Amino acid sequence: MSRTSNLLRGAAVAGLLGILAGCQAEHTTGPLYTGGAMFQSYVALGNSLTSGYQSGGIDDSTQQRAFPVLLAQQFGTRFTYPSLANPGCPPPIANFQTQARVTPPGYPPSTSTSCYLRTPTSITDVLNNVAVPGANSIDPTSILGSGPNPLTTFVLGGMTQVQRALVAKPTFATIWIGNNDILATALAGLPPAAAGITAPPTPVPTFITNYAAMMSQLIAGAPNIKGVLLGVVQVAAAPQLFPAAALQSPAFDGGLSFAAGTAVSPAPDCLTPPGVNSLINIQITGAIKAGLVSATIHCVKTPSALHPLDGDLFVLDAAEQATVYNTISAYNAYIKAKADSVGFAYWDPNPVLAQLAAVPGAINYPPNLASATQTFGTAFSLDGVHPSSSTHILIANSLIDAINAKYGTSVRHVPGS
Amino acid sequence: MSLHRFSRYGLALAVLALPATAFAQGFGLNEMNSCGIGRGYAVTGSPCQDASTIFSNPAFAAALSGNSLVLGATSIAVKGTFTRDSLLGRWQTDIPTAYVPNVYFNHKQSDNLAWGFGVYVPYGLTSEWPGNFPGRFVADKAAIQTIYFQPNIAWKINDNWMIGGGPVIGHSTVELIQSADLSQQTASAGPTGPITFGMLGIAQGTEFARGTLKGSAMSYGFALGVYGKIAKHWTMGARYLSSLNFNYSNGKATFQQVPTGLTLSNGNPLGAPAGTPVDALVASQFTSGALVAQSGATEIAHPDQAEVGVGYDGFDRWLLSADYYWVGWKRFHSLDVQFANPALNTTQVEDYNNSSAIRMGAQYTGANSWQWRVGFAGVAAAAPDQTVTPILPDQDRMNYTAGLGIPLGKAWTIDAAYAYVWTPGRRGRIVGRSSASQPSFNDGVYTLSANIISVSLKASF
Repeated sequence: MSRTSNLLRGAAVAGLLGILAGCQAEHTTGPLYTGGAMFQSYVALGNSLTSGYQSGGIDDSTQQRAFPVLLAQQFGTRFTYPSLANPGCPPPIANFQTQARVTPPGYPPSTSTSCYLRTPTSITDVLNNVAVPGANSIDPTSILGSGPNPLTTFVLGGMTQVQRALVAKPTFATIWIGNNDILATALAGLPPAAAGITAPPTPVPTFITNYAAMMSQLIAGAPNIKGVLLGVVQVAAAPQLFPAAALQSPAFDGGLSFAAGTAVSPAPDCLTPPGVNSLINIQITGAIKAGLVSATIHCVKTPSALHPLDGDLFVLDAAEQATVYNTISAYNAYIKAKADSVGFAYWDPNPVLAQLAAVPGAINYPPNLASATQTFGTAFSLDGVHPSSSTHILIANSLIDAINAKYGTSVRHVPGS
Repeated sequence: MSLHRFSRYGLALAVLALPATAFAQGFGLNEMNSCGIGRGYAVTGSPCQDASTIFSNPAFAAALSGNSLVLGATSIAVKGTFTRDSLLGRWQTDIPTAYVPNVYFNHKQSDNLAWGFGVYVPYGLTSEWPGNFPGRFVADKAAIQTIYFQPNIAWKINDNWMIGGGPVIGHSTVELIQSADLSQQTASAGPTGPITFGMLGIAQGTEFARGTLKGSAMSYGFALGVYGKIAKHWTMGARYLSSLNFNYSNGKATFQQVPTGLTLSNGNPLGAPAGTPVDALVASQFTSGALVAQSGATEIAHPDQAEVGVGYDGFDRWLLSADYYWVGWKRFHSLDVQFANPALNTTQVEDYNNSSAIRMGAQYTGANSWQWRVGFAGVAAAAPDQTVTPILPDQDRMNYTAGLGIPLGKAWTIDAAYAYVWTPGRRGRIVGRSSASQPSFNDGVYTLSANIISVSLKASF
């Protein structure tokens, strides 16, 4: 072989080595995204239902089981949440009968105001679950919010829900807001505003204004966002409310007496209409203990000089039930219309609740006061308002069906429902 | 004369046998002379025939005749990006083009003795990102500028062997601009330890201050070299440059408040009235608290380096060379910054690995004495996977070079060279690594490339 050919071979080898080195070096990329472009950045706005609140408290273990986390897993997308250090902020109720809260060994006894702050390792710049327990329709866009709530700062750190959600450059959102616009007052029996016990329900026009502002700001910051708007739960179906007819059971009355610390009995107006159609909140035992209402439970408004709120506080009569129902229906009518107008899916939680009510043991009406850990059934946690972990799976799967139907996607169900 | 079959292919086979990758760069620079750049930096076993050999092989200075002067400058234009996972953004570096000088002078005192000096920049770094880069809490800007002055003596032992070397006097400046993250700051003492603002809900990456540390330092070391003709047409050489440890003890740190735009909500855990701006809570730190102007210090080890190479000129008008290059990057354990207020002290764990590189070059001298050069160097990262950071997103590099030497009369020559640095991209982090046990948290990809243009004016008289 000629000298020139040998030279060319040598130069070619050196050049090839350089080229091969370049080809062999892989171009690294980030974690693979599997669920489709629409789900690349998913955010969840809302209140305690979305945040993972259970049994009157919230901690990392309940937050992990919230439906947005489950959805994100099925979407195959990254999802961060504002982990609250165990045992919680506050720690969840562990025993309904004693109201004892989760207290790990070596910790002081947990109370309803105990708070162990944010888990240091959960502090990220991007947060996907921006829901705040206690939020109502004004809160996603207002830093001052609807009232004092330390969890607002713990979750959002000085921003609003919408501002925090937009940091994640969202492509998909679930929004479940509106429950707290009526929940507390409905559970309290719609007491008169003058009593100073709870704020009245958010008027429908105000709700609409608040909700519209939230959607407007979110879409302005993420113009191509898709998602699901979730309807408000008919709160009268919460197992914290039991039918007045249950007061005819001596065993049940015995349980109420134990909780109230005094003998509890129904007034005659609980035995016949209209009183027998009222719903009573289990929290009435606390009101009896505090002397706010009589130990003889009235099921229609029966104010007295000693107990001006008898038959009112923690009693939701038929007319009040209709008011609550109609208000929530109006909220939901707007939410559905809004979803349609912005191209989101709409999901109504109430059929899912109705299905659960037909499952034996899923929802206890009235609550099983003999059980410390399954008082309200397997579908609800120990506060009688927030869903249990198994119900979060049900919610997630029902949402997945709504998403697939709306967008033609093929997201798979969460296993275990 | 034709080359023996083995020798003819020896270079190619030797190249094939050598690993294609696994060598490191860190904040080392290669741009010590234009001729060397053109030849893929493979100029230890077969140095350029000018005073720049004082760096590439101090011993070879004894082979030069008369006086040799080199005045050179190199422009280094670096571009980089960071693409964060999950659609969270892409940022480009904002690095100004760097201009790296070199000056060499050599005088042949006698048949055996030569002396001279070199001024060159073996280490340097400028990393600069835009103001909204999420990694700005590791570094907004990190700049190291180090220049070495090396007096040199070379001695010709016999017709085949030479040795050389001299002391090295180094001067280095450092500038570090870093954003401070409010989520990491202590809000109050807690029952089991400090409670940070992050534990109260302030998001990671909430910039509330920007600190600037500037400092300079001197250090001393040495350089050694040996050069020899090992066979007809074959030469070899080796050099060693010692480590220099720069202690920037006279640094000055200043801090500037950056508005967070955050407002505390109703019932916040800090007990402040609803609507209180977070900025109001921390403002006093800049006037009478921890973040007033103060002294600062840091220490950066510039590692030792060794290089061994061979050259072959058996092909008419051709010069082929190959070097193996090693750098003791293991010295670069961490970047610690101390302040007059010790609560501000920071540590960035680097944990670099020692590294080596393969360099190859070829030079063809035309009938008109123009010299055409081409080269390649394969360099792999010194940084482990856990510390690919905004300060230096170190990664494998491929340097493709070309150059030209044009004589201007009998005494003058212009050398010019171009190098393109290519990288494949590497996953890295934007969160600092403050302890060796801290897990890797790479959440994006860094890319780097560079265009290097070098020009030298050489005189032999």
